[in-house]
Amino acid sequence: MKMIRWSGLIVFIVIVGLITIFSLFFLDGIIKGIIEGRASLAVGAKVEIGDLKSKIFGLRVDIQNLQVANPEEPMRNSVEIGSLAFDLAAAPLLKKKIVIERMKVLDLAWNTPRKTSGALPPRLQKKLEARKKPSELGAKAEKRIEECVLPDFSILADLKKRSPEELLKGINLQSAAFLGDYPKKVSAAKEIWEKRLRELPTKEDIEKDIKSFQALKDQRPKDLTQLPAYFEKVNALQKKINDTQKTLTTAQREFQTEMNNLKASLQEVEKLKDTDVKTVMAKLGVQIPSATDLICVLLGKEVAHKVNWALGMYRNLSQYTSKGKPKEEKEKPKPIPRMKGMDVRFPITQGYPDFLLELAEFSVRPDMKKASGVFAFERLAGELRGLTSHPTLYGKPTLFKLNGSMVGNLAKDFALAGQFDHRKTVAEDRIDLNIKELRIEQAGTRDPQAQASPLQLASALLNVNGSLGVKGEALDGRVLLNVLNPKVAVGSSAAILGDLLKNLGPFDLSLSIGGNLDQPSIALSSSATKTLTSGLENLVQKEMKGLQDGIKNVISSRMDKDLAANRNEVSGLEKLIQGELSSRLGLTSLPTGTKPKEGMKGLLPGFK
Amino acid sequence: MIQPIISLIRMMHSETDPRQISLGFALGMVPGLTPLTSPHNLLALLVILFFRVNIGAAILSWGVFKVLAYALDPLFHQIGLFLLTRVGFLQTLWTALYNAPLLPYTGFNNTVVMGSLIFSLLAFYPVFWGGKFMVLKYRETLMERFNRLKIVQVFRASKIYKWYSSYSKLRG
Repeated sequence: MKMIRWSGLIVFIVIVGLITIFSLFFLDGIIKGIIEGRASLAVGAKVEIGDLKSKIFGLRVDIQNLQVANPEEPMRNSVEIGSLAFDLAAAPLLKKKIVIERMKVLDLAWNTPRKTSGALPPRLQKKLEARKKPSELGAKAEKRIEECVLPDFSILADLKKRSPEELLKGINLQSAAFLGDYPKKVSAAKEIWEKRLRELPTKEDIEKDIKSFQALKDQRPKDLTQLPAYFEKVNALQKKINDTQKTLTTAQREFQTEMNNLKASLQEVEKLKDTDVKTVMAKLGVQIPSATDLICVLLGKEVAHKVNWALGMYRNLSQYTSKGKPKEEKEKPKPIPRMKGMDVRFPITQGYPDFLLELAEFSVRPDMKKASGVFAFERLAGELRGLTSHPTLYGKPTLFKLNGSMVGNLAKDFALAGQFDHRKTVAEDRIDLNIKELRIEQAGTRDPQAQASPLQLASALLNVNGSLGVKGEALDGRVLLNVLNPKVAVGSSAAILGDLLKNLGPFDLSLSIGGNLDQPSIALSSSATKTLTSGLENLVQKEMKGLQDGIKNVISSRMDKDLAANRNEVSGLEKLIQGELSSRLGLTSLPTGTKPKEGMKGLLPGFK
Repeated sequence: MIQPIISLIRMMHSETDPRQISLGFALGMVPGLTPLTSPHNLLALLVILFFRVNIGAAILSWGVFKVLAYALDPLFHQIGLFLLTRVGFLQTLWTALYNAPLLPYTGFNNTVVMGSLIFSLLAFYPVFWGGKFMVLKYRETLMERFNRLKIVQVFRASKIYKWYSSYSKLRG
């Protein structure tokens, strides 16, 4: 039996040949499809390539009109690239490694309009949902600064028209509650002291003792042998009278202390009145903004919004960058889709990383339109070096820099630079931004949303100096804005602040960025705070003094009657108890010359 | 598709060496169990076409084992993961293969490719031997009964069968 089937070999060669020809013929389409599919899933919106041409022998890829749709706004492109061309290194490709030695990105533009929607088709949308990590659904940057608002000052004018009595309607005053409870305290004290008076020696008891003492004094024995027993009786009676006197004196002192406390607590009413005024003002919605609030609404909010946007962009980007890890470390297995398996990666002992982009040069499509709120560049070019899947193996950080100027001399100089260093276990990234003489001119171009804002920086010249460092997950950054010639547009709801902000001089605004990528925190400080604080205090005092005084007077007039009644109640109790104690104490005084002197224990004066 | 299967039935009923049928069945198992686009399947195809093995048996086996592969996929993943990550002495070999030219394209570092390939290689001889045994047993015991089945006799008397027989004779 023949073992070999030569016709089979011909069939095999034909099959393999057909597969090869088919692949070569449709290679461009296959690469285009793979890039579009994978990039769309990564971005969360359509990524479309106008035309892709590859040269097998030159290992060169030319892409024309690459559009990356904005997932938030499907009718706009986040990025549009007119032309992108790169060469692949041949030797690393044999080892399934993609090494791009030089890439040229020309005609780069962003936020461009689209003709069709860039939303993902439902099939890819489902795939994307399945891939979403919990962290992507989670926390956003700190909102405190972004949400800062100014109180509605127009409420102040309305309140001024209303009478204080009307404003106080339905408000529970602490001072009134205190005065309502006060008589109960007086009654309780009265009850206690009346009981105490009953327990103390009565007038009758004291008079009886005094009479007994007087009688004993008159009955002095003539017989000397009876004298010791006589003195013993006299001393005992005298001690009893002295004890009574002491008890009454102590009671008198304690009563006086309690009365003083009661009187002092009545003075608390004055403090409670002030608290009531503050409570009423707060309940009426009259809040005094801090100078930091003013700066925050004026500029800080907008800058914080941009910082949060940048942090969000960085967070999204960091999902695709290689995490810093020690050499030779293997990746942990992840849950795998059925029938697809999982690719286990092994240490790369020699040669190139799996992916390396050695140098990419960018140039931006010049934009001649001056649009509000959008950075339009007249000139912008830059480069990216050393973007790789294995930074440890590559041994250098990824560096990028962009330089340019804005349309219509809006900013003389714009520079963005940074580095992503993921070579160590803890990645260290840094981004620096410098904008010189950024002109803000919004007069006459206020959009409806801006018009609703109480304060707006209508014009100014800004120097922006920002830096953001990310070490692992920890953020450490600072944005410093030097604001020159600021002109503030004041909305109707904050018209009261017009004078205060009219002559606002140059100031600095500083935003400190801290926390971590999942929960960033932004703190704001400004050199204008001091000036604005004193101005704001004067303004508020002037505007609100009349209203506050009116409310205080009404509260005082309501309280005065109760206060007087309570004072009378305390005086009455004082008079009653103190009078009784004094009269009892008066009776305990021994007749002149009968009080024992110190050092004469056992001998009555006058009995020498 | 029908032609190789009819050819298989004819082979079962002919004097063809049972080893040719069982070898075709065992070789068809490899692309059946492993992902079709894996490069090693080109080698399996070359062997099936170049050596005188039964192509019908290979195609039937590919179909049968493709269904089985779906059920066995988690097992293949576990086997692949074990071999690729937990066998210490193999790590040097995998690392060397991973860094060698062209070999990364074989997809050996994929858990399902590795697991299913190892499984199919281990199952190759038992399937070959089992297939040969079954062909022999079939010819000894079941073939006669099969030929006596009414449906087979009706089919053999049908025009389609006669047309196919004359077509086969013409093809040689």
